Amino acid sequence: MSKKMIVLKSSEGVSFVVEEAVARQSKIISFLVEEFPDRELPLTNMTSEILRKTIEYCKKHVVEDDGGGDSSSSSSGDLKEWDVKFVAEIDQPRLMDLLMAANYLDIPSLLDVTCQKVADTIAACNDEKEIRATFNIENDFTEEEVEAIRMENQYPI
Amino acid sequence: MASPSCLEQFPPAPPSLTHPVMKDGECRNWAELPSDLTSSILRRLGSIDVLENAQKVCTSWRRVCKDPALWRKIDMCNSGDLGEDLAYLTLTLGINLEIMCRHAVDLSRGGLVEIDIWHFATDSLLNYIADSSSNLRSLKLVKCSPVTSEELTEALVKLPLLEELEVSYCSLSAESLKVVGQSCPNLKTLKLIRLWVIRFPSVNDNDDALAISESMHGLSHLQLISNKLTDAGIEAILYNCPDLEHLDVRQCFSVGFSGDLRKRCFERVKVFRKPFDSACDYPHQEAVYHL
Repeated sequence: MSKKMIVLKSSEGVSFVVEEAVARQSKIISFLVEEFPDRELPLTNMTSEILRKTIEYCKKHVVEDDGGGDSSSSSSGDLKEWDVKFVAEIDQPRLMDLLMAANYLDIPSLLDVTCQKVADTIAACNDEKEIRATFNIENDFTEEEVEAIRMENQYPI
Repeated sequence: MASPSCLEQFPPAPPSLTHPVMKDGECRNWAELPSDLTSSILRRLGSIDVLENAQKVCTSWRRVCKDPALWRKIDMCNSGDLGEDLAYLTLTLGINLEIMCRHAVDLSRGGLVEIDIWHFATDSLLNYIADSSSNLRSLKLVKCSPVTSEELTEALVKLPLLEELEVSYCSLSAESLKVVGQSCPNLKTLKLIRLWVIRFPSVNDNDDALAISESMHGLSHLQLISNKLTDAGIEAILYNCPDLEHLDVRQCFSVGFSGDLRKRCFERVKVFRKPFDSACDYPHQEAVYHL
């Protein structure tokens, strides 16, 4: 029996033909497939690039049931290693897009690895200035707020 | 395949799922990330990183860092990377970890669920936590030598919802264990790491095992590393803790597995770690005797 395919369309109108089992890792797509079977699903706020990355992740993580029990395409150790490499190769702006895509499409495991990658990057920074520089964040505190933070966070030895 | 006209028939995405169209190649301002996502990221940091760095980044991160939801878990074990000696640690960081921990507990506004402390817990800190956090489910203390068994017990009895307790290289007597078991009926996980078996390997003592078997009948996960228990202790635990799924007695060299005890251990629990199993995956392994 051939595998059921569905079509996902990016914001640029590019169509991606994906196995239904792959796409169903997104709870939103899973819901839409049930509600609107055999229809193209427009994902108007995802660029082709991010949609392609998301599909790449879902393909790697799909668990197929071939009747002979669950057979994941990889062992869990390999999968973890693959995840680390997958997020390591993504640059900062795209990481944010991918994190938001994981949230929008409701793919918990992808949201988990992207959030963890960001957290690890923050933890590797020495101070708030380095975090701002790394994540393109402006210091928008007033002098009063800076003083309030300082007062709140005094831990004298 | 359907025509593009089916587009209108899709239900509109709920507001929480909408976000601006992602433009290619643009620099992203991470301060604009929805606050629930910023929170998902920041809750993965250690508490020292949040207080010392993350909350000082920008106003939107600061708001997330002030939200009690971020303080359901307090993780103050990251100081463990820096060394063992508390005085050295305090000087290196330039902060009083106990005062910082109290501040973190205050930020949780009574909603604290999980707390991990390495090195610096004291009797008064533990009682402060217990008095303000009756919802606490998990408490992990590692190498907190100033803590006394009596005061730790006093704090633990104020935490009736506790499900997970780790006391590694801190004092907690067998008598106290029994009181804790009786006060915390929901206790599912107990990790108790003793050091003395290395110094006095010939001493056998089932006090811990008997206290556990008498008072903690709901345990599913028990780790007793470097304990002095013998076969009789394991028998008592197997008999009295029917839900036990994970039993770890590594470095418990007084266990002899007479008769078919070894076989029964493997039959009864899903995961069984034997005395001479490798301790290399153990998080505090630097203090464990290597075979």
